[in-house]
Amino acid sequence: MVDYAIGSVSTLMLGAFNGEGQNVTANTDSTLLWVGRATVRPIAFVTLGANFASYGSDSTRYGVDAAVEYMGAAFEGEYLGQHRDGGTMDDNGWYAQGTYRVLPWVQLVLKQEDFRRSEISEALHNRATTGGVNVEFGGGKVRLLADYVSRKIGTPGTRKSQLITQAQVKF
Amino acid sequence: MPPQVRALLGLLVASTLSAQTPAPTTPPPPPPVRFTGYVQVRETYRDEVGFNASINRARLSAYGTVAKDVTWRIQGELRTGSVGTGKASVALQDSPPSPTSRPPTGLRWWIRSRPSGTSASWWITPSAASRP
Repeated sequence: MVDYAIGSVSTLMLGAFNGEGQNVTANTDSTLLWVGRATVRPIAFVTLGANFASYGSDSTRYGVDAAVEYMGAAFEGEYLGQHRDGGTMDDNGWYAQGTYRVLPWVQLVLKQEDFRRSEISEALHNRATTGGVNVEFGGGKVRLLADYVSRKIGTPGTRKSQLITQAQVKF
Repeated sequence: MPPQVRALLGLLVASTLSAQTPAPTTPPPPPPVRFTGYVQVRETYRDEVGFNASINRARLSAYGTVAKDVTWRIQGELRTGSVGTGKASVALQDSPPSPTSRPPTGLRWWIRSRPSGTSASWWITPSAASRP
């Protein structure tokens, strides 16, 4: 994979992988996964991006994303999809996430996501709401987070909850 | 005060002040190889599953400088394949290689050049570029 940065305004990335997953050196189907991504910062606190991934004659994945960071608040969102050759309806989904620092070391998080593979089955429809808080110490070297995730899978589906706590130490 | 004594006292004061002033020092050069990384320890509770403890992700990077504008980096990453799929347990998946396990995930390397604000790099596996 190669990336190229044009100052601090734009980046371009292009990669070719065997598509079998991380650290798998064999390429059993001799097909390459081509990946590309471009980002641009039209103004200092806004980043826009677009990406694609083409896996031979099998499928093409694509996405667009946007991020805004201003005065301790940040918002980012992405729409992504996957087209299969011969398919009639693409997989697609999106997420939107907002964060806000109520104190320099306390950050609130709210996220909504929705992904579906309608051509395969509505039972794979996956949507979730996440609310959480991040607390940082030591200039960001230690971070504690707590997230509550309410996820519903299938249509109409069942909703299940998850509580995630995590400690992160950077060195 | 005789001129000879005055000159001697002046020399003594100047010598004392010189001894108190620290000599300018050159900052030591950075070590040829430096390390950075992070560890994420996670505790999860899921409906109908219960508690699960895991090392969600651990990353270690070594980096250094080849020349004025060229740096290198090699990075290994350990991470869980899934979280919360079992009862309370501790697991470090993809741990150091054994004859029956895979090597750590996400090993990558790159050399970066920064002439006039531009850069180029490459790596060998699509390791996650997430922000810790």
